[in-house]
Amino acid sequence: MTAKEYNTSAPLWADDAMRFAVRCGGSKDDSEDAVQEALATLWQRRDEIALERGKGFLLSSTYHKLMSMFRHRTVQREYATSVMSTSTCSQAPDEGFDLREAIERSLSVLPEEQRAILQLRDVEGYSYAEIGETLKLSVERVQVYLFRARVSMRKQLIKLGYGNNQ
Amino acid sequence: METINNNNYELWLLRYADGELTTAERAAVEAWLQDHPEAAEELALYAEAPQLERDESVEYPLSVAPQTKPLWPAVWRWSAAAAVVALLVMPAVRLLTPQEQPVEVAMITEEPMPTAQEQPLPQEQPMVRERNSAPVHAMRVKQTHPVVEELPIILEEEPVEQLLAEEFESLQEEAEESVPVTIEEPAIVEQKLVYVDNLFTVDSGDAIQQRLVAVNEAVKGRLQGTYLGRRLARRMPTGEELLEYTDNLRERTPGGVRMMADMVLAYNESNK
Repeated sequence: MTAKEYNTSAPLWADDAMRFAVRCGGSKDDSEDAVQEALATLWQRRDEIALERGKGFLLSSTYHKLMSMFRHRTVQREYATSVMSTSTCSQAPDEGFDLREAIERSLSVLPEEQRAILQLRDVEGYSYAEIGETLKLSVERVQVYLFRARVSMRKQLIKLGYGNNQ
Repeated sequence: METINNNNYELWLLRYADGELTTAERAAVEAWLQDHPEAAEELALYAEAPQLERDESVEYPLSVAPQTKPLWPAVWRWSAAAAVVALLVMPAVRLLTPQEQPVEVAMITEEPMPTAQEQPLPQEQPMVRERNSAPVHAMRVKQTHPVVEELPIILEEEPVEQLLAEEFESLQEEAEESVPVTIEEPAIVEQKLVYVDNLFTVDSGDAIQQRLVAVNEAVKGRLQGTYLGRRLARRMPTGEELLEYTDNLRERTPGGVRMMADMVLAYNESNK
């Protein structure tokens, strides 16, 4: 990838990387930091990365940098997740959130890997192999996690009152 | 793949739902589901789960300019930018040998140098983000040099000989620590100073890409073996950085100007 190609493509990829990071559970600041560091890595290694692999590299790098941040904050994060999970399960739709918010809440109880897989599959349209490459997982592992993610998300939605008629 | 069982049923069910199985495999899965209603329920949940949608409200708010934790002292970065500007305007201003082109020199040197009153001091670049904990970023390169009361017009206001002598000495010391380089005598450097200072009066425009290309050219070989070439090769400045530095050229040091002159000369030599 040339510097010119980087300058043209990176702004587009950065938005997707930001969405990906947020979807994986990153706060706004964490997501920005992760994307920023990933962009820096992409820039530094642009000579060895083909243009068509640039976005995948950026997403992968963003994900792993975000996970690295999470690992350093395990305690705080477990606490936040438990609070979120409790509040999620106790609320009903008539208490005031729409399907979109319900989906976000149902995602929040999923492990980061599963959220990442859902985002890459549904939003980015990646194949299982591409997801595996991005997250450094086997295809079988990706498929199992995707299955579990959808089942868990659906269960959460039902708990939130979004049953048969969404 | 191993036949469906309690340990691998999720994989089978996903492939079943995706339609990847053969007729025989589908039949085997359906038979297994008859005996495992909980798994059948999971399959139904899987099928009912909504697809995620792109959240267009989320955007990356910062510049994508690469991380550029400065590896050079500010003077080198400014001088690199100055050098690039010089490269761009060189076709228009051929002053390397002022004696041969007296008219051109005269026209340019007659241009009044802008004073502090005429030209506003460079504005500090806005910080891209406010959080202190953020990593260093190109767009957040903050100028740490002091704001000067009056823009330095070196040739007119400073004792050039003294400055050049100091510069010569410091460069010698620096050169001893690295690869040996040729350091020119102050008289020659002074000539370059005149030349380069004149370049500041020429409008070079803001063609960021051109500047990047020029720097690329420089790094890729034209300046290899020169002192500045080695400095430049340590890291590639971004277009944004170059723009910022060139906006601050008026705060250059004699060293920065000298480096710029070196680069111009080397570039010119390589193009002969």
